[in-house]
Amino acid sequence: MLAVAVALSLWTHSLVLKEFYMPTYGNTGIHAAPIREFVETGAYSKEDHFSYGGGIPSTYVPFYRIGVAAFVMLAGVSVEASSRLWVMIVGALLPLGFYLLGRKVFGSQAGLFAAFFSALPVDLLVYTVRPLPQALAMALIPIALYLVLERKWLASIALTFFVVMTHQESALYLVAVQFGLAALVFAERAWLFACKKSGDGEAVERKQVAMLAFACWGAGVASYFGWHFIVTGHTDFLSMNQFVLHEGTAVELNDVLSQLGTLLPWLAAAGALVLAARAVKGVLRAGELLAASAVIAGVILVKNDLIGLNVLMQRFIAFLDQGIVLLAAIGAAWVVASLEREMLQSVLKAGKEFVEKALHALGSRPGAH
Amino acid sequence: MLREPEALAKAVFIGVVVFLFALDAPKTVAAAQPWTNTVVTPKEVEAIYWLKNNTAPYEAVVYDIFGGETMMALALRTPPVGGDWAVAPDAVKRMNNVTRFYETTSAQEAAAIMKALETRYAVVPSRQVHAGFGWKTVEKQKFFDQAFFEKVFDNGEVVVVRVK
Repeated sequence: MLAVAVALSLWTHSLVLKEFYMPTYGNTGIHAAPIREFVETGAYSKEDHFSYGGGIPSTYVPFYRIGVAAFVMLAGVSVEASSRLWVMIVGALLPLGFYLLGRKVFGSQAGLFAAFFSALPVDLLVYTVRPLPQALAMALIPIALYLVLERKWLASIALTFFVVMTHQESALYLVAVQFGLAALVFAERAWLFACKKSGDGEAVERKQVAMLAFACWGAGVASYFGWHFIVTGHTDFLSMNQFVLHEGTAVELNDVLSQLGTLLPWLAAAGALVLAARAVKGVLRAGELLAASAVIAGVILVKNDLIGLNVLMQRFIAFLDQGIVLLAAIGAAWVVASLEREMLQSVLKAGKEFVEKALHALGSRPGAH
Repeated sequence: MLREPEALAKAVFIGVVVFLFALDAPKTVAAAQPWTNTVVTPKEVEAIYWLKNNTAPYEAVVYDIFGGETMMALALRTPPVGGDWAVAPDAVKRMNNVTRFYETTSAQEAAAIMKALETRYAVVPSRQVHAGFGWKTVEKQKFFDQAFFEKVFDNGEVVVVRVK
């Protein structure tokens, strides 16, 4: 089934192969240019020779560009062909990452659902089907989060660093989810401490995951500031045009819902109810807290105009989609599990009682035979 | 081993999920497809390769955002608009200038804009252009005024002019 999900994702991402040239929406050329420059000169320039007349610092984080350039040099294929090929690699990685993360969060069925559901949100496809750093980074985010839940310290910090050095908005979302996860766990521990209660058996695991998530957040934030300082000589990233001129448009609920299709909103609602019910019972696992954080971080970034940032709000819908895919997978897996257990039993029992009462009522009517 | 009603209920749920999935997935692809458009045409790529063969690397060439980014990707030539505007000091001014360059009917004004941008060449496509303020129709007639421009490339769809 996982192979089918990968094949489906490859099919949707094959859109990138359909035209005579790679897609140009999303400023794909601003990455292909330094890639070509790197290939032709053998050096990665910290100066942007192409944007708005050139002669400005190249503030964009470099790993995607360096990676594709290295691929071009090693494989001997063109920049344009390599850029499209990387999209197909992203197409394969995306469901695999969601499978790993979904399985870790809510079991193997949730993993499979997540792998399939990752093909549904329009914005998730729009931002992974074009040869952009964002595509690669978005495919790596589920894997980075999976590594945090697995408590793989070195691998998760390394992959967080890789995502941060691949795409800025992806970096912001990833560290926001990691920070949110750590904050939720630390808040739980503070509450337990205040109430003088002891945690459940999984409290230690949650604490370890939270510490790693916090470490990843710190490493990610420090990496970005370090990069920005290296290329600009300062750390005032809020002076960039995107912030100063408030690039972006406000996002309404319908903007999110309309690109999710019919299936995902219902299942995501079911997933949200499952998490809420488990939170009330106080039995949320680290993975479930991560799923909650993935949605909360996405909502905050999509509505960042409400907290005064007012920058690229619509671009963060694709990241919110990642949380929604996970939530929908939880919802679907819960329904399947419930149908195998008590819910179906209670439905059958209620149905049986209703039929018995109905028959009894019919049988007790005067004149009934 | 599931008992029969449980298996049936599960099968019905999965069936509904698969059915809705099959309805949604093609719509997702259809909605994403416009974003994979090239905007630039094969004839424009011909013009870009002419520039690559007849100008020096990093030569400044007036082009709109989509064409300019394709030009930088294929030929390492530098457009006045397009690219990463994060720390570009005069990005909005450049967008205004290039929008005006394509929209004006005045050859004199267009030539003055090219000189202000310190460019010798400009690409004139037949499609609408986007220089930061929406899609605009190109006023092409001005580029045939030989007092200000010299046509150096023409493939029937795309013209490259040099300012005099």
